[in-house]
Amino acid sequence: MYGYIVVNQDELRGREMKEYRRFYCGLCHALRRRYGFAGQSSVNYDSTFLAILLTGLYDYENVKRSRRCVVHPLKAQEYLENDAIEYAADMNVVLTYLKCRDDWRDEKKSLRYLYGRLLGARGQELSQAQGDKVRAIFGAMKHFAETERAAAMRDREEAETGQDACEDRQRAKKEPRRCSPSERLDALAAGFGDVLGEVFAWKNDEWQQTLREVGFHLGKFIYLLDAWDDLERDKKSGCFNPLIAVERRRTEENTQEKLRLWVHKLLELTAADCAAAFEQLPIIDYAEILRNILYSGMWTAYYKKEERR
Amino acid sequence: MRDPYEVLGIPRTASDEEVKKAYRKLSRIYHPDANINNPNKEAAEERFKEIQQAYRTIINKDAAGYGQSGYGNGSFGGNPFGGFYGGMGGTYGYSRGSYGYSQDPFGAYERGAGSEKYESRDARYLQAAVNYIRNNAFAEAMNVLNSVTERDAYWHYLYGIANWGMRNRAAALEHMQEAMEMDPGNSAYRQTYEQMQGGGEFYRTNGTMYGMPTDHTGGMCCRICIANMLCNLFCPGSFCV
Repeated sequence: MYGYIVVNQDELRGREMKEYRRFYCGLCHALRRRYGFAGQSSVNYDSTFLAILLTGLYDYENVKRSRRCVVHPLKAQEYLENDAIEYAADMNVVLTYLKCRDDWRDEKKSLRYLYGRLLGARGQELSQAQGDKVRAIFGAMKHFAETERAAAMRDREEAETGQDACEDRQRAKKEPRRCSPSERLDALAAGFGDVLGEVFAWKNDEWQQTLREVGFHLGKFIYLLDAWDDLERDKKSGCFNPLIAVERRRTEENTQEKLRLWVHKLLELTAADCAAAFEQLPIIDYAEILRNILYSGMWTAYYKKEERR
Repeated sequence: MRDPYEVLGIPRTASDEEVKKAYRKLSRIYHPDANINNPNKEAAEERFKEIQQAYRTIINKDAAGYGQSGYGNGSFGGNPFGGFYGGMGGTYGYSRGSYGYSQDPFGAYERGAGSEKYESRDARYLQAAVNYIRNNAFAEAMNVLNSVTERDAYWHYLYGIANWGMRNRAAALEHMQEAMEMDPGNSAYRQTYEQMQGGGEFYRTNGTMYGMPTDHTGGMCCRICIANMLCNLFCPGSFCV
């Protein structure tokens, strides 16, 4: 589910690309330093976005260093160090750990389990240092997982007995109205949005609410895009995907194309919300990189899927 | 409140970037964190609050560009709803989400069109929902709508609006579409649907400045990190999507 928040490289200037790499390398180094190899290999672009966003918002004296590393053993590469990158590294580990845990639970991927354990072991100090934040994220993730389980159950029920039958039965029993597939999709996207909102709302200050908004809408975008990306695969494997029920409901012709347009519209509205929240932040430095990602880069996976069809 | 532009020391024609720069400059001076040892720190804090307020006022006004697109000018006056921001820009927190229409959307109900066919309990619920929506209490509106038994086009219309206010875009679009299908002659439903569909215009405009992204992640990974070979084993797909 991660790795969607990337840059559109073609549209970044050379100087900006170098800047981006300094953050990515900085994140990698921070992860290595705090979490060892397990942490280092979890580095991803989404956390890089967070690191740049927070650095842009808060005034930091960015310490610039150079180092050789596994990938660049001959020539030292520049990278940045600051509190925002440290925080992004911590968040990176928390989210990766949670993903591993869920993958193990849902799909029994044993390598994920091992990896999760590795991270978890190194993450003990993190739980102590950032206790409240970690707890809040875990809590939000738990709520999201519950929402997903409930939605999957409703999905199965509807698939077996048919939506209308479900609604008739519920009306006959005078039960309160249940959610439609679209509402379930919204609830799930918002659930994941809450997780990322919690991650982005770093400090208890004047920008916490706005940062939370950025994270919330970004989380919704990621969830929707992931569901869209995995739709065919999930249909084949029988994995839960909220878009399956949405598609099933559509009885008109040209369902595929209409669904695509609908998903595109949803993604666009969500991205617009995210960008609007971002534009509220007084960010000057690195704003161009961030805008590249928000207005263009994060659609990469969507257009990649379009090209494949 | 003093004129926000005066507080930030910028002209009214200042661009977003200039507003932000002005804010940052002043924030560095008056932020509480920068004034811990200042004997006049209360005064500094007051000033900082004023600067914050001024900044937010200006930026929200600019951000209203997100929703303008001809729907009405964001007035909170006579029209029961303010500007119909496409759900973005200045609508943080549910309390500030206001959704305007060029005609009173409840006209159909209040003119009594079809109101006879509702059981009185349903009618009360619907009226309650309308009141909640007018006061931006969308969660309450949804609650009360869920208790209505007769779910006709008007119900779907209200439910769509409530969902939009809660930022549940998928449900909002679905229910508004349902309302339109059940009552194709109703222009208010169609108009609202168009407005919802039209949301994101400002975002799209900004987006066209960039070309379509092509997938380079493979190359980028190789340039940045060969450890991704191992990562593909361990990582939850976070590299080279």
